[in-house]
Amino acid sequence: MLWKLILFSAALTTVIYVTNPPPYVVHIIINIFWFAYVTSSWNIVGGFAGQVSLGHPVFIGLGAYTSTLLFMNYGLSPWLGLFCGMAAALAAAALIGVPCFRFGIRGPYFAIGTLAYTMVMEQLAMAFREVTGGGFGITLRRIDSLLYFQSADPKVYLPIILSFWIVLIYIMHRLQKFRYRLLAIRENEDAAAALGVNVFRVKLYALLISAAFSAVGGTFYAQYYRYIDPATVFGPDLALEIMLIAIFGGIYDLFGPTIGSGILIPISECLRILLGGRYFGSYLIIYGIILILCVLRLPEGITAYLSKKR
Amino acid sequence: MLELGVVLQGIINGILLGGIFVLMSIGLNLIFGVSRVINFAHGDFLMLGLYSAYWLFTLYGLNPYLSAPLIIVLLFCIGFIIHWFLINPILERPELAQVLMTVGLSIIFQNGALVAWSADYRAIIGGIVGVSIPLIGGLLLPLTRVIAMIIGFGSSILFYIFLKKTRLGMIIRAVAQDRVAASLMGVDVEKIDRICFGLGIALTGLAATALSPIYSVHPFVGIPFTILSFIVVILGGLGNFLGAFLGGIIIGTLNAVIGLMWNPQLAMAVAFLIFILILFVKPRGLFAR
Amino acid sequence: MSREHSSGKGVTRRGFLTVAVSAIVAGVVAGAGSYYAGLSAAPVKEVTKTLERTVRETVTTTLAPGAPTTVTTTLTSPVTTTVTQRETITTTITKTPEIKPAPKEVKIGFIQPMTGALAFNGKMAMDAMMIAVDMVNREGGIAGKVKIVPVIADAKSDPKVAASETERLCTIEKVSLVIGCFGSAIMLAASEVTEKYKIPGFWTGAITRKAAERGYKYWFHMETLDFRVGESVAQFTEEVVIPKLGKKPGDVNIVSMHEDGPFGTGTHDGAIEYAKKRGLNVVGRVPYSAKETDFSSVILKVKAAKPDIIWWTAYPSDMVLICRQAKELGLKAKAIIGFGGGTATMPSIKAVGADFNYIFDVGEEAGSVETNKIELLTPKLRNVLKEFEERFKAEHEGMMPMGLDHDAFGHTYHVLTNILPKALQYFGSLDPEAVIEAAESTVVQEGYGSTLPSYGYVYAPSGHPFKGQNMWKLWVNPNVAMQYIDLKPYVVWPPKYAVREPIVPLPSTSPYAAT
Repeated sequence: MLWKLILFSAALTTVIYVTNPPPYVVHIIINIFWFAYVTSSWNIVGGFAGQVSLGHPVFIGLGAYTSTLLFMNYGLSPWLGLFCGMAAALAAAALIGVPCFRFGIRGPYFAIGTLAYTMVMEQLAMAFREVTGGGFGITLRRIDSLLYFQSADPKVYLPIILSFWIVLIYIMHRLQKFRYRLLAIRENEDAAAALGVNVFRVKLYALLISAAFSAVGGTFYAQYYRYIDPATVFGPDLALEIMLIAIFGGIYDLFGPTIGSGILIPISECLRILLGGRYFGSYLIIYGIILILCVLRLPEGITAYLSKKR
Repeated sequence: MLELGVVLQGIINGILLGGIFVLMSIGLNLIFGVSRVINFAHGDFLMLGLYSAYWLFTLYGLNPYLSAPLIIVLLFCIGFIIHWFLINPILERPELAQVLMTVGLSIIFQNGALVAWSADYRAIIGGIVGVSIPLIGGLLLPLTRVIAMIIGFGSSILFYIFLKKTRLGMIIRAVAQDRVAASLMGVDVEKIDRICFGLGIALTGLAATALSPIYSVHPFVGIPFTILSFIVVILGGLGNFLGAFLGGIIIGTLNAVIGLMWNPQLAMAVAFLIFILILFVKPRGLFAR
Repeated sequence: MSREHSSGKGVTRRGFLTVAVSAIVAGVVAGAGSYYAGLSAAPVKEVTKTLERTVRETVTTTLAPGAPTTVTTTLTSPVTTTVTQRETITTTITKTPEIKPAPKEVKIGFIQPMTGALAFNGKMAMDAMMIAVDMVNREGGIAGKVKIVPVIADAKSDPKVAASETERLCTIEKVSLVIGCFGSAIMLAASEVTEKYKIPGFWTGAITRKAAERGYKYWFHMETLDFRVGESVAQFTEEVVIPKLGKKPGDVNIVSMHEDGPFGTGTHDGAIEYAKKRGLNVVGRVPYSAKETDFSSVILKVKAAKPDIIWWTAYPSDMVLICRQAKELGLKAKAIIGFGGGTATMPSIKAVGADFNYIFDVGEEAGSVETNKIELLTPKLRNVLKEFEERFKAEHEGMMPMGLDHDAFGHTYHVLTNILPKALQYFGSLDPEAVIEAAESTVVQEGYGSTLPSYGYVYAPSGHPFKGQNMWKLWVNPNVAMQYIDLKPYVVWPPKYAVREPIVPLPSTSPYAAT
């Protein structure tokens, strides 16, 4: 598996470097894999464990803001700041995860509870503007050095996000027993408990791992776009987008979210290019129609349908 | 420090705001709370209702409170049809399919409204809009909000009684509890589902009429409504109308009072934090079914 | 139920709650404490370089084609009232133009948020920009020779999308320059991309000074900056409103109320800075989130501070609701002054209705032919303005263009008729480097600006703290104060441009009038 992933990524990167397509195409591909990474990370707790979370922007945003603030205020390279962001996200995950899982908050209660968590963080980031820049957001200083996780050549970001993605997928692939436990919990929590699965611990680990990965995704976002603001990284819109892509691709499969990302993002980009200039909003209507049609035909997501065909 | 009168006014505002949150979320409580259909397009149905009230007022001069029956019927039909063609086919599927479906619907509604009616902010003006009833001590009671709260309270009670006492209500509850058993008892489960959903959307239409003199109308006005409605419904306990009423009042009052005494930018954050804390204590909501 | 699951930890609910609640209370107290400590210590850390009114001084050079071209621009701003420094901007560019055949057409990217929360203003601005393109194309295009091919992009009110779309404009469509866009976050994201690809960007509709402080080479900002708007408001308050109340500056309570994004925060920072220097009494500041569904706490806080004058920056989304709740909750003042944005968006104003009369709005916002001293413009510009208004009204069911729309039109018109022809003439092409050199050497004193006092363009050169900013809009007072009478904005200040006398205090027909 690992070699397949590495081979694929290496091939993709080589193709990009050799053919040198317009930067816009590279941008789309990086976007696809960033969402693939973040949604796959969400899927650990949202899909495999069945604990739908709308709180992942908290982790992504903490990752982005922590590494960025350390970089802007103390000159700390975001490669190191990345780990600080992970730590912050882990703390945040524990803060919501321990009580929720301890007190049996699940299903829609967990989803809406985590949504409230996201809204709280967004408001905090807006209100404490001396620290976070508030609504102004933060524009990252331009250093253009790989040591500081920046590059003038956008192509460089592709192998970086691909590496993150490989690490995530591979780790989850290897943690087979862990995945089975998550699956058991998703199917029937009480039965799993009766079979000796430590539900609380497993769920918590899932959330913690997912949060850590998400935070790294946040740091990458900050370094790539070079501009972050609370509405984007801490926003409920992001939570919905992540969940949407993961569900569309299929939450049961390791590669489900990746495929979902690979299909939905190009579709929305193409629609916007074709129609966005003239008939404002109509491209989104078509996007919505596509979503609905897909759900009607393939309610379990694309990968479930594909695997049935096989 | 703030004078007592100001604080009291803040509390009054908070309670009224809570009433509005309750009103907003009633339809969702029936759809999500009782029949467990995850409807992320809830706020956008409200938006459609708001636009209906606005156009009926602007084009035909119809007072929104009087156009309520029209809007209720209109939205019932919309809900009915949507359930038939879009929701019903995916009910046997994993829940998350409903998320995809309703988010898709939400996108279509929002951008459909944008294309049809443009992004202008519109509002119903005149009449009792902005009028307040003066009370003793200089306190003020905004009339449209009082009416909204009364309608919200009234509908909550009505639906509580409806679900508990009437035959149709009991059938709906039966279907919600155990579809298979209900169908074995001779209930046309599909039809009941559809009626329930239609009723929920119709309730949302009623809410929209009462809210139309309060909020401005805009294609994207529904987004915060969806979030708030879900929080109120969860806080009260899924399907529990009286719980939702209490939950809504709590959130509204917290928002208004904390905003007043401390910082309006963080008022919602604190209210949501307290919501999360309440969830810890009561994982199934204030009054779980 | 899996509630009391034994994991051997013995964490009881009550124990956990006690710890959690104490931690949260401690956290809240610490957070609130440091927040207020931070506020009182150093509210605005940035140094405000306020650049004062200028005596117009231009240098014109004539150049022979084929000869080395040297364009020198010198402008000196004299120190007038309270401010900081005398400033001279000199840009000297020497370049030998290669005389190439002019291109037949030029692709220009236009980006605005046309869907999403900012859709309303974005769409209007785009319409205005397209009218400018059309009017120039009708004369044959740039300098009558080069047809403009506009490429439209929708930023979807989302900075990520703005970045994506700008990528597309720069790398796939290969536009020669980008013009945009409403919304500070959108502009910041989009201009990151234009800088990356070294495509010139010309911006109006977002006024955050943070953008100007980046020192980007390919960024040109035609509008004023947020703090300058704030200063104009404070100036108007000091020069007109307070005297008309018959009071002295120290005797009047001003309360500042604003949406907490870059627009509201930046404008009020500027106003409050000025107020401090001039002894105006700002007794309260209430930022709020424009996305909230209820503003009762904001209104009550402002009311509790007992304002004589309210300074207010709103977006269209919150404006209607705030006006309503202010009426319901009995918020009263002697004058209400808006900073643009929501208070300059006509449909929102109409949605408020007659209650909005007698409210002031200060900013870059221009009214219409009817409400401005149009005779101060040159005849050519008068006609341009009239035509723009006619066409805009025709496209929008009779609604007249507001300030942001005038901005969008006027600044686009400026780029198309001042900068680009110059690039063609002196440098022979519309390549990025030529456009930049042309822009940097532009000195215009009669371009159609958004408001009559402010027509003028000179862009700060490299090394200047506000590289790329149109300094004219900081040196002169770029703003007028308007008062809404019968829901139309009439210019009431500065006196030279006023068409009516301002009415202070709010008359009894206004629901906000203090008794």
